[in-house]
Amino acid sequence: MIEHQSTSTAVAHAVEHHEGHHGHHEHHKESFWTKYIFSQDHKMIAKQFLITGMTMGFVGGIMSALFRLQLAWPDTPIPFLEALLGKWAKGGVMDPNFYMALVTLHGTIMVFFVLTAGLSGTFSNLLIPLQCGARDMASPFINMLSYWFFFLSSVVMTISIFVETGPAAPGWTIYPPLSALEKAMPGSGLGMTLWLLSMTLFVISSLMGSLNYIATVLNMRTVGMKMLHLPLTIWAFFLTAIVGVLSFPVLVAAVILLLFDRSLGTSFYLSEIYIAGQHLPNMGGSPVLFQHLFWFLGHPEVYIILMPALGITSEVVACNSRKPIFGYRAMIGSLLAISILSFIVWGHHMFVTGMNPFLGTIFIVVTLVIAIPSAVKAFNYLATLWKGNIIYTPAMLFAVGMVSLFVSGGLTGLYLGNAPLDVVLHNTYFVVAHFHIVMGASAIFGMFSGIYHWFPKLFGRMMNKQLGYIHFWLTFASAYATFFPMHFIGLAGVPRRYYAFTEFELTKVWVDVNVFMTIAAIIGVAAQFIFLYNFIVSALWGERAPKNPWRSNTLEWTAPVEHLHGNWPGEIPAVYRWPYDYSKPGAPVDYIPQNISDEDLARGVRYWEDDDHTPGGDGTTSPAGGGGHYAEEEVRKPEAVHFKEEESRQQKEDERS
Amino acid sequence: MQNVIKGYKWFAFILVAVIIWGVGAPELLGEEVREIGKAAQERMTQAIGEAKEIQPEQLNNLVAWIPKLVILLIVLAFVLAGLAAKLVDFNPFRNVKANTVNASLMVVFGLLFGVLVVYEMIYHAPLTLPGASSKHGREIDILYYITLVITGLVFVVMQILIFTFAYRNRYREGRQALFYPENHKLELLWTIIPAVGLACMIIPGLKFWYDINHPDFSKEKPLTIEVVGEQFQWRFRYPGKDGKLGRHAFKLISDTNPVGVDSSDVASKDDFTPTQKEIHLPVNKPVLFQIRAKDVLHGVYLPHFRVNMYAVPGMPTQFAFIPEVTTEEMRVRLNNPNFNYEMLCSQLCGAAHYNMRVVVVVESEEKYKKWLASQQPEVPTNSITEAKDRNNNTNINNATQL
Repeated sequence: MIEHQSTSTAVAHAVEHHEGHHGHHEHHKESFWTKYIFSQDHKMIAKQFLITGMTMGFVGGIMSALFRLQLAWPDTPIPFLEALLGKWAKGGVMDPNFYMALVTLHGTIMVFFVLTAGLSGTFSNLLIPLQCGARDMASPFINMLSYWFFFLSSVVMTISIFVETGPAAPGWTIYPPLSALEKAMPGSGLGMTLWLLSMTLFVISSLMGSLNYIATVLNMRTVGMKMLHLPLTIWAFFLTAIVGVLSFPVLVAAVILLLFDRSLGTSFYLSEIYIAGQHLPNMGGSPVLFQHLFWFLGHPEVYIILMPALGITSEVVACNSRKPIFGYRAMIGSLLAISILSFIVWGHHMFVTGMNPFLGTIFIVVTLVIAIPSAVKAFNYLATLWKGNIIYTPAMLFAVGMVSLFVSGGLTGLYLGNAPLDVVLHNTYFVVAHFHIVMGASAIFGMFSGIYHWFPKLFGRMMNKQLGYIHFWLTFASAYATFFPMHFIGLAGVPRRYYAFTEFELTKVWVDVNVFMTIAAIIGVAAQFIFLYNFIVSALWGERAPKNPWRSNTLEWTAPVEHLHGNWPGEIPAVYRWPYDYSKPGAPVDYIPQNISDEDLARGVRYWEDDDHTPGGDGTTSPAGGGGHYAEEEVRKPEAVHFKEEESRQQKEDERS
Repeated sequence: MQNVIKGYKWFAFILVAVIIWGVGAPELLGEEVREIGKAAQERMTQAIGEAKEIQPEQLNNLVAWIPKLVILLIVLAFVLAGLAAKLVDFNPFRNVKANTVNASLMVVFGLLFGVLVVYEMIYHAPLTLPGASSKHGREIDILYYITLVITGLVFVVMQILIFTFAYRNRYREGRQALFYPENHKLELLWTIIPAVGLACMIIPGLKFWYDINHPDFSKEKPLTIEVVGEQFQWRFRYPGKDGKLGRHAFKLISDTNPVGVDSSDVASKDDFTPTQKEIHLPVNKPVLFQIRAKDVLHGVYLPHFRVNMYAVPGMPTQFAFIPEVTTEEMRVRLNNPNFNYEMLCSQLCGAAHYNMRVVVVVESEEKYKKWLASQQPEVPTNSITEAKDRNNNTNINNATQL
């Protein structure tokens, strides 16, 4: 009871603290609960989102490895599967129902829990206040709730795996009647109910987060931070949040109507169903209605996933090419265009569902038009790389990989968006290839890029580069090796979500290719453990990060490395310029942070870090040399010296505190 | 390198654990794999035994140990090398310029990616669907090639540019990036060019979409076939001699009347369901599939004919097409005497979704007529009252039957 009281007062205190102070930072003791668990600090919440998202990501990733085993060796019993899955893999052969469940959960977890909450949740939370110049989110309390709803949602989804009748299994799109009728498949029992519950919680979380992001970006920018001074990351998160707020509620509507159909005997989606020897009483509903509602969220969802990745890539590419992003306004314009268009293209998922063909005509045009802003973005990335001075941090590698994947995957969208072609390709492996490259791999590359780039901001330590390089090359290679052959499987007319390729002449030829893809996929999943290792070891024992390790312009790097509740110890810095003044002629070094005014430059203010703060820098080169410290660090720095320096620096810090 | 060495022990532990699992894996991998391993081992034992004249049993144990020994040695070497490196402060990466290496790897990767693409085009592209066997399908193929040329060109050019730019613009000392924030002409150019390219795909796309949805039946009445999806099979109903399908009603569906034919309709008297899981279609005649589903969504998918349409419970759908190539002709064309047109389910419908095969035979008018003659019309037994009675009695769970 006493503990409870103290928690609530601490929460109240924290709220007060936020509203109360401007300008100076005040130290006050926080309990373990308010600091690490029910934290209202956006940086801690970002970490919570990231770690929960990553955990779910590993669950989803391992699931994919499991069902790929089934696809590669459909007839071979693999006893290890029985050890792992119990009754779902009797004798080492996976049950078809459980195969479907794995496919469903892999999709749901990856789309929603990793690439929506894990990506947007982490980086919107971390960067919006820091890059806009705010002390915290507009409502830190709602922000905390947002995370805990997400956490609950993750817990419910994870619990559903262990339900006796199995987790939800009608695919991540949960089309009724399959998802509405318990008799249609075992997964449509309790597992499906939990799925729906989990998604409802998820949407609540997402809405609370998004409203917060929008309010913060609109109201809490620092002095001088015009909308056109915002980094592209913030533009991407901002528009993502708007798209999310407008589209996610439709999913809740769809989900609740489905719950009614399942439990209360309504007929929103059900009509004339004869199943298990019985006529169901439902009349007048339409399964296609559900698809309309689902895809009204489902398609914007693709951009909810992709736009933050594009924003992160813009920032990382510009910073590491030491070059302004090409066509800043065009980038914003294309993000805007994508956001608006994303709402009116959902029907391209439904060309062959019996939807009115005339609607199809409109959706063809709109869908293909969305390729224009996407193309502009891709070209602008290229133009940013051109004549740059690229420093390959792991973040930059992932950003370049993201651009490559975005182009490869985006182009295949032109096949699927064109209704006549979609007739052949609908629900085939071509679709699987397309969205795994453009929204799966490409978005996850954006996420990795963000993690490597902002890891120093998140944990105050550097990640190991060598492991980052290995992680990138293995992941990049396995991404293409896994998903590229899928295009051809799809062009051969093999439908997706097939438990085994053994029943059709058409599909049998591809079993060998499946073996290849499975091995590539397993290598890809295994490579993520390198990342996990790097992440944990670096977060706990990594090299301490300097204030601005990437010599970046944006505002978050002007905040101290240690996390303060309120971000900046003194005044929030004012902003005088756009965030992409890299390699500007006449500047003393190859970057000018946003908080440096022209007067500061004229006065010759030394805004760049002393060299002993750059990782591995030995103080002999001027930072004006072009930002090569990170790149060439290994050349100059023997390990032993480095340790000593690290120790002495830490000693100094200890003395100081 | 610092935290690699710091966490080095853990790395070694993980590696050892993985390897031990790997060595132990054959026992977990199942009979077949183990047998393959055993056979290989025996062959090896024999070969060595013959050469050195040693007792096979002695050797067998030795041979069994070889892989484990090799792996153990590798682990040992790894651990020792790491320890030694730590002791003498030797860092093999010290003289490697990571930036240049990564930039070069971009080119290598680009080339390997190119190899992958070419490999796929040579070995896997021929395994994809042959040219369409239906009239509208040929239009779809034209659209496919238009799209392939445009996107293929953009794909190759863009990927080459990405990987070369990634290499050429790598960091080098003394170099400075070009401050080049925008160029409106250039941006306008690469807004217009994609727009033109897209127009080349949209216009034929719209035309072909119209054609697919507005089949021309003015010259010839189509052969109407009813396709009903259920877990987990397709049911077909041919109209028989009168060319008319009898009425059907949802309430009439029962075990003995699986698609709910209304026997009071005269047109239903000669309707028949093909006796095998095989449907026959006459060549060059329009066919109209009238599609419905009994339980959940299914997808009528005939990839060779470029036909794909959902079967939706409660909402009839349809798809018309004209098969133009007979099965026999296709066998000759593909040089595959066992070729058959197949019909699949394209929309996830449950556990046996992957197994709803129907063979589609396209044949000449004469052969088709012969086949028609061999089919027996079904006499639907149900009236509405009968259906009600039956409804009360039957309670078989299809899903659990599986």
